Amino acid sequence: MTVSPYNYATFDMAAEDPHFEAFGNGLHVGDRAPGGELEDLDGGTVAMDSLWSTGLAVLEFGSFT
Amino acid sequence: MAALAMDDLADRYADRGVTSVFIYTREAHPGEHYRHHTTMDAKRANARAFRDHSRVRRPILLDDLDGTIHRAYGLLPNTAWIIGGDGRILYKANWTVAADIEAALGDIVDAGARRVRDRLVPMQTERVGWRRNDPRGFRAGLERSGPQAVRDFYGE
Repeated sequence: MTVSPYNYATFDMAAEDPHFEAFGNGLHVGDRAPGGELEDLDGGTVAMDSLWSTGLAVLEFGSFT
Repeated sequence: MAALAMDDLADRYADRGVTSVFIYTREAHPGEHYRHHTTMDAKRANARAFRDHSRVRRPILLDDLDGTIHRAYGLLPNTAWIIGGDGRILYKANWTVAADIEAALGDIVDAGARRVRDRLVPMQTERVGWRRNDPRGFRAGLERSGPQAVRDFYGE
């Protein structure tokens, strides 16, 4: 497995497949959701935990491509 | 990505205390038209292009350039999660399937409403879900990104 930077310039299936295999061993239902900071499209800061401070949160991760 | 179905789901649950967002990661299949991100401005530009093309109505929030939050949530290209008001994970899926999320969300909201009356306590399950394979749509997405994205995936 080659080590690629997070923002890889070219997709490499062999480098990404292990993440699928490892997914079941990572976070689990019942675990505390990791926090951190995100940016909105205007450059403002949004704290992850503010998303569920008023109730449930549904998170989808992804990109255009 | 079924952005429309997820937006519709977000709308249906918005008045039941459910906050829905799209967290923008690295480009899964960078190409000539949508390159890998080297700056937050470039990432933001691709996220705006995605919003406009797919008419995403949920807030799009950007992870940092190093993917700090994406890494914490497993690095896959299109995962979905439901988080409870106590900050605990209630649902995780290695792909985003709106119907599967809706089933789980409906169950969670319903249980919350009748928890005391029906003496409900949480249990945990692990099961296989199903998603529709869409090779044509997937290939169209790669072509939108650029010829390189097609070559990188299919080796053409």
